[in-house]
Amino acid sequence: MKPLIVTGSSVDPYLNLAIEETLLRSCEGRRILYLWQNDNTVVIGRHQDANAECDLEKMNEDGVTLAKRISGGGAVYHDMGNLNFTFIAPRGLLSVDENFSTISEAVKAFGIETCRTGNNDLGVASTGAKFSGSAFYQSGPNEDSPCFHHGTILCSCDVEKMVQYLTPSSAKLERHGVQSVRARVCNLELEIDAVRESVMKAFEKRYGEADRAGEDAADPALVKEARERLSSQEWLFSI
Amino acid sequence: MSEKNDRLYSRQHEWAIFKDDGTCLVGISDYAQKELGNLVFANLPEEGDEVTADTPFCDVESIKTVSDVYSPVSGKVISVNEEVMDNPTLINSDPYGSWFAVIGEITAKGELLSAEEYDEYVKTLK
Repeated sequence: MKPLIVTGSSVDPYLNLAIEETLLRSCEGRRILYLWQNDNTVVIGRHQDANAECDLEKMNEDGVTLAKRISGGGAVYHDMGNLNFTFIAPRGLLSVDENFSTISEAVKAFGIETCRTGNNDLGVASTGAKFSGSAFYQSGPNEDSPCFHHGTILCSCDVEKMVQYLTPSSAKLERHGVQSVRARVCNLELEIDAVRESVMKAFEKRYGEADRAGEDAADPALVKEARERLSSQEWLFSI
Repeated sequence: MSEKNDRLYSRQHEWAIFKDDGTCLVGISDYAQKELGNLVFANLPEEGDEVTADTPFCDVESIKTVSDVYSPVSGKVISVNEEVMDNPTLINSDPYGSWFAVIGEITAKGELLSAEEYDEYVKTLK
């Protein structure tokens, strides 16, 4: 089966996360790359406490949406200067190292050398500053269990805002060990559209020619159900 | 690796001990905890939750990933292990002692393997 590349057009984080989850649940062994953007959103990890991780009052004033993903890790700020990628595949086919190489190759096409930083981040080799952070979800521990590796690519994100909305982790989160990574971050200063094209190209170079689709590749009925759940107060404020 | 004979195992790597009072203790196998790596969070179900066999009923987060955990039976959650919630590394150090939940009012079981069968199954995975 040919791999599939899905390009999102919505900037609604709940819809995008619902599409991502639906693509995962119905991937049926297929390798999928999903590229998407959220505008003005703080996305927290599955086991983070929204009240402890971000400045909800300030976000409310500025019209910033709070979203929570099904993967682990820390809080991130997304705006239209950031491109999100999601690699979806059965666990036996998904290689985190390959995914990082794909992103690195895509960025290298612009003459920027990258390096792995921390556990799950990519940085610019010359400075070590982080432009990409990743998180992971698996629906089960078996070879055929669908799982995903998703992450950010900062191109021209408003880092000032990022710092304003994200508050350092509380003692409670430290107890749980789920900490926000506040490593030094940087933008690649590249056009989103060009980076998106380059990631698709690097993905196809690795896995062969892919079918291309819009977000309607995900079953709308399942997306609707997932969006309702992912935007519910119960989901956002449960820990 | 030799699994414990006092319980049954699912292909999703959960274990289940069926007790005389009709309830069952559920946890994850040594293979599962090794595959996940160091656990940092156990998001256990709540008392009273209805669970369905072979369907996710809680999840765990390791330094590598979030992973769903499947219920080996259909029934109702009678109690959860607060100690594991407070200290998820117990799952790494003692996977067969660190039960997640007691499930009662069992109405159905998923397909479960004996220790010997599970051992053989795990050998086929790598």
